[in-house]
This record gives sequence, structure tokens and C-alpha cells, in this order.
Amino acid sequence: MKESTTIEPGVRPLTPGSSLQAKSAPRPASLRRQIASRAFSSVERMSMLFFIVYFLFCVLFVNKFANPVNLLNMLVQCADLIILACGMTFVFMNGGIDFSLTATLALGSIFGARVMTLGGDPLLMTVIGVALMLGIGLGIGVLNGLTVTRLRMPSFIATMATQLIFAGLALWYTQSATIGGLPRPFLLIGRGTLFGVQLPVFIMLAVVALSAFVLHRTVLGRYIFSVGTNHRTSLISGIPVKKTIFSLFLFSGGLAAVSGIIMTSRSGAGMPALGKGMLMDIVGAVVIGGTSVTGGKGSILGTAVGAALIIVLNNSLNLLGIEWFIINALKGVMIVAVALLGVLLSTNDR
Amino acid sequence: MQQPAADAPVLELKKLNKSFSGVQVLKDINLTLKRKGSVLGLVGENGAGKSTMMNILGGVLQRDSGEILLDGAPFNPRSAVDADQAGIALIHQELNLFLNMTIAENLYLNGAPGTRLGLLSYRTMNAEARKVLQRIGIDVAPGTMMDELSMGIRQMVEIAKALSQKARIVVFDEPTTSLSTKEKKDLFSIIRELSRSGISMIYISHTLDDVLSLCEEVAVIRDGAIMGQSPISEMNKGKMISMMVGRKLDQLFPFAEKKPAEVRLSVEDLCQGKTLRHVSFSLRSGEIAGLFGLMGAGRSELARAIYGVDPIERGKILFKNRPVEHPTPSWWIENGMAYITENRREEGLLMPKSVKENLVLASLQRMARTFGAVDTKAEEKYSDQAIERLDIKTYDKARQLARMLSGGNQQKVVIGKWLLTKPEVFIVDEPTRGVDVGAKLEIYTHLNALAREGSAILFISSEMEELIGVCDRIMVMCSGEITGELQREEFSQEKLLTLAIRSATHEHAAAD
Repeated sequence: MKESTTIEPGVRPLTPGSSLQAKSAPRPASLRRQIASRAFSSVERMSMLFFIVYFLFCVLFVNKFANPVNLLNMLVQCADLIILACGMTFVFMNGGIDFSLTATLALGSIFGARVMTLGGDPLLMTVIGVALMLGIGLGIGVLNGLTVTRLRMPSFIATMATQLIFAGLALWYTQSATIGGLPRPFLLIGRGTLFGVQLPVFIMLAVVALSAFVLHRTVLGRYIFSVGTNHRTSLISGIPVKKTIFSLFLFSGGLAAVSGIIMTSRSGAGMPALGKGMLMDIVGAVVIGGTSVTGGKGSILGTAVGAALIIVLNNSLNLLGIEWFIINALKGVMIVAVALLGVLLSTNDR
Repeated sequence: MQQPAADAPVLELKKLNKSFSGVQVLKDINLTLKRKGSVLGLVGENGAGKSTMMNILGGVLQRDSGEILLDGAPFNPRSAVDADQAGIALIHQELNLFLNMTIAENLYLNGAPGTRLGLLSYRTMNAEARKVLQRIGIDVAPGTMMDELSMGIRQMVEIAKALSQKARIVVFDEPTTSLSTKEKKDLFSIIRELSRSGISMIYISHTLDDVLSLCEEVAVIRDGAIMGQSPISEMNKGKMISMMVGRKLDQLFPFAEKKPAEVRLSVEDLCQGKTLRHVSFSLRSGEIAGLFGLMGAGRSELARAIYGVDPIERGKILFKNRPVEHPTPSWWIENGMAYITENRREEGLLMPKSVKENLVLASLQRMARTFGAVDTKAEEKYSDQAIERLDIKTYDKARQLARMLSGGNQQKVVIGKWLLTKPEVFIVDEPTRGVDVGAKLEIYTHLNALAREGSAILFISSEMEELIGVCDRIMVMCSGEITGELQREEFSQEKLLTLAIRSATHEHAAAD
């Protein structure tokens, strides 16, 4: 490699007055305005602001909302939804969707339960069961990923097919019956507590941290944003487009499995219809979190906020005695509002 | 149509001002389209304010102050519909046509003739469309799908659309950027025809020769102000350029003496269906080799095949005398080749992403630390280096998006992205397309510097002037073959064109 064409480190003089550095120094006069304008500059931040305001409103005005038991209960519900929505966020990053999440939950749940109830050392059976459930999740991810990248099928169709197939398989295999009698160590995953907080909450925090790290701090994360923005530019820039897309489905499948393990453990049985009806909340969380449905734009933190908002909304409206169908309608209105906001914000920064 | 006052100009802009968030982009613009059928050329660098001016005229943007007079009467377009109704049509650089519809459907998007109760009458529509198409001399069935047409014909359809809406003033914004020489000639004869039939036109272009041959008058705009409007007889290319940038013509194509050394890249007997036929050439370090050809000659296809974006049927590629078995973009990046495509919007940049993200895109692999984390310090440092070296004008590399940059700066970001991969061979395809004169000069200068430092550069272009100005030698392609090569002493536009159309005529002869 020739020295001359290369741009060597340290060539650029680090003059303190240069305009690029000046940016990073805070300018007190406009700081408040900057913070204000940043707060309203993305769907993600608007959702966060709305979440805080709404949460405070509920604490003050909704009876029993601020009750510690209720708060902890919401936290656990959040754990399920956030883990699933993190997986969905990855697939959304390429403008795709994964409908097979709930089927992955169900299939993992019943096969994991079936294996763990074969008998044997409880701890060993737990390890095998957990490994199997993760394997099923990743396996469905591989299947989805291959269908999308090799057969060039839209993820909408590919994952709808796997959803129908595996949800059907789960019901057929169990004849709609649940599989109880799971080993004690396994039950601890979903029911154990640490400092009075249930274990799934810690698992959720780990999942959020890990997902955020991958998406926002790693080279793979950069690839994901790039591929989601423009396949052709990414390809020509040497980015492994297909491998990147494939990895997205591994994340969604794997995280669905994690969520499946927690939910199966908490309910104490393998359930062939586990997670039924959660899909809309998952998609809602991702959209409210500001992740673009066309790809290339989004964040894990946003998704977490979106999921938390949905859980708080469900819970508070429930406490107010509002019927579930009205709650659903309200969630629908909110998703439309967020989508509208996204459109307004993206036309603004032209 | 009402009778215009006998002496009033067709269109007059008076003291037009416009600013965007405090930045004045148009300053006291005065512009006159004197009579029916006159063609006014408008030239200026990208970002000089041409598009803003035209968008105000087209009702897309609202002016801050000033007057627009249409046949001497004040005209205040509030929307694009107002402008349409006043007979003003804008033909944009990126055509506003739906490729999944037929010609006739595109012509009558806003209201088709013969429509009853919301039902389209295809028969009336196609008949009307045929009339309009005949008027500008295109012989294509109105029921043809747009995506089956060449860029040239699509442009004609856009003109036909303007005519079908009874336009009196047509504004062309860079109409020739994606046209072949033949298509360009057809376009010009249509423009002359329209002029004879009394339609006035404003012709915006970077190609000064076209402006000189087409227009009666030319106005030069720089930094939002009109530098002058004068009849074409008082204008020449050098004068226009110095008005546009304040530089002289001979400085436009800087040539640098270089010392070509060892062969870096060679291609032997490359074949790909009908697009590439037995192509062989080699590229030395320290040279800029031009590759000329008309549209469809296979220049870009050759680049894509070498780079591994398109498949190869037969042939060998040698990089530093080692055979390359399965070329892929990532292999080339790792081993030191950069490919700047002709299409920076679709293939060069992530338009909605920041300058920084774009700059480091192709070198991310080298910025991985433990657990695959991106080395953000390296990212900062490298992107700063590229901005510094190429003088990319951005107010905040982390927040300014690529699509907000001017064409020249966008192209510099693409070049910067590749510089950071430390390549030894560059394939650059139409690097100056849609870029203003000042930025062109900068791009040539950077290419010269790279070659002098020992890079091998393959410079693909359809502009003969720039190849003649910048290259050490020029290869010419026609119908997928390399038909010849000229050394710097032999360069002439005639020779280049002869080579570029030679085998095509041979083939025709054979086919007959």
C-alpha cells in the first residue's frame, strides 16, 4: 500500500478554534432552546415526553395506579413486550416485519415443556429445555432469513407463512392442551425475584442493553442502518447485504425464544397459544417508538418506551374501568397520531 | 388566450427576493423573457439559486418580495396548479413521470379527455395523446408503458405533457444530463420547433455549448444574484464561465504530468452477453485512462462486471498480476479498488444519512474493536480527514444529511468515502455529472493528485471535453467492444466520435 494516497492518522491539525470542534462545546445561551428543539425533533423523543407526562398523570389521578404491586406487575408485563418488540425492531430496520414471533413463542413453549416433562435431573432438564427453546427460536429465524434472502420473498409473506405453519403445528401437536409439571429450576426463571423485583425484569434490561449495543454501537449495527436505508449503496460499499438481513431474523427469532422461556416459566406450563394477540402490541410498540416502517431509522430505546407506553395505557385505562375494545381503539388512534407525526417531522427537515 | 399588450415581455421577474431561515438565496433577481418563442439560457453553479427561482415561478415556493409579470400583468402563483393554468410548465431534472403507466396515462394524469362520470375513455385519450406526440415528432404508440422507453423518449413525453396542458412558457432544468447524443439532437430540434410555434422557454444547463447553440439570450446567476443578461452574440463560453465562477476557461481542465508505472489492473477477453464483447485492457499506476463511449456502449457495464456487481460469462481479471477469481465489492475494497458509480443518489450515497455516516460506510470493517463495536474515535478522525482533504462543505458532519448537500459536495462525499478505504485503483463513472463548474474543477484536481501519488484511475465519461482535458490516454467503447485507443497527442473530438460509432455502423452493414 502506498503511503501517498492513504490518509494517515493525525494529518488533520487539531486547531482548537476549528468549526468542527466548536460544535461540541455547549453554548449556554441557546442550551435550553437546543434541548427543547431536540425533544421535539423525533418521534422517539415525543413518545418519551408523552410517556413521562402520561405516567405522572396516572400516578396523580388514576386510583390504585401508583400501588407498588400494580407498578411491579406492569414492569413484568413490560419485560415480555419489550423483549419481543426489540426483536421486531431489528426486522423493522430493513423495512420488514416478523409475524412469526407469536408462533415461535408457542412452538418453543410446548416442545420445551414436552422435553422438560420427560423426567430426569430437574436442573439438567431445565438446561436442555431452555436450549431447545432457544434453538427453536433461532431455527425459525434461520428459516425466515433464508426465505427472505435466498428466495427474495418479502418478509411480510415469508413470516406470515411460518406464523401459520408453526402456530398450527403447536395446536395440532398438543390438541390445544397445555403441558404442565415443569421442573422447579425452570419455574424460577419467570417467578424468582432479586431485591424484590422479578427476574424477567433483569433479563429484559440485559436484552435492551445488548440490543442497543448491537444496533447503535457495533459495525453490524451500522450495516443494519445502511442496508435498511439503501441496498444498492450498501452493496457497492462492500457491505454484506444478505448476511445483514439474515441476521435480523436471527435476532427476532432468538429474542422471541427468550420471551417464550420467560412466559412459559411464569405460566408454569407449555401453552400452544402462548402470546396470542400480542402481535398488535408488539408492532404498536415499535411504531410508537419511532422506528420507521420503511427501514433505516429507529432505536431500541424508542421501542422500549413505546412498549412501556402501551403497557401503561392498557393498565391505566383498565383501572379506569374502560372496556378493552375502547382501549384498543385508543391505541389505534395513538399509532395513527405517531405515524402522522413521523410524516410531519420528516417533511420538516427537508 | 387574451391578447397580450404589444410591447410587454412574455415574462418579467423584477427585484425578486427569497430567503430560507435567514439565508438569502435570491437577491433582487431581474430576468426578462422578451418575446413569444424566445429561448433564454440560464447558467450558474449548483446552489446559485436557479432551482429556487424556477420553483417560485412554478408556484412551488412563495417569494418574499418582488414582482412577476406575465404579459405585463402581475402574476402571483400560490401553487403549482396556478402556474399550470397560467401556462407555465417546469420540466425537472428528475422526470415526474410514472414508469408503471402508459404514455397517454401520464399525459392526462390531471384530467383525461373524453372522461364521462369518472370513467376513462382510453380511445379518446390515446387519440389525443397521439396528436400531441406527433406534434413533437415521436413515433411511439400512446399505450406504451413508460418503463419500456429510453430516457430520451421519456423526456419527450414530459415535453408532450407540457404541450397537452397548453403551456406557453416551458422551463427546462438540466434536460440533457441523461440523454445520448442522438436524443439530445432530437430534443434540440423539438425546442427549436416549439420556439417557432411561439412557445417561450427558459433553458437551464451546465453544458454551455448547448446554451450557446440553442438560446437567443443568456443570463448568468451567481450566489443568488443575476450577473448579467445579454444576447448570445455578445457571449462566449469563457465569458460565461468567468461570470459564473470568476475563473478562466483554460483552468477548467487541469492536466498534470504523471509517471505511469507498473500495471495494476488488467482485464482479458471479458464477455457478458451482448453488453461486453471480448474486452481487454490494462491500467497502470499513476495514469488517468479515459473510457469514452456513447450511451449503451457498455462503459458502465464494464465497470460493474469488473467490480463484481454484475456477473461475467468469460474472461480474466488480473489485479497486480494476480487473477481475481470471484470479484465482489468487499474483496475489492479489502484489496484496494474503489468504484464511484454514475448514480450517486441510488448507489453512491445514503441520502437520508449524515455526511459522517456516508464517509465511513465503506471502511466500517476496519473500525471494529472488541465485540464488533465501532471505534468512534477513528470514525471521527477519518471523516474529518476526508472533509479536510476534499474540502467538503458541511456545517455539521454528524447532523447534515447527504441529501441536503449540493451535487458537487455530494460527489465529494462519495470520493471521500472511497479515499478512506485507501484504494490503489479507482474506477470513476461520470464523476462530474450534475455537478457545477467549480466542483468539476475540484474533482479533476483531486483525480490528478491521486494519480500523481501513484493511483491508477479509469475515468469513464460521456463528455469528450473533460476526457480530452484530463486523461493521459482515452479508450473508446462501442456496442460492448473497445474500438480503439488514443494517446494524448492524438486527442480530438472527431477521432473519439469516429471510434465511438464505428463498429455500430459496421454492424448495421453486416445486418443489411
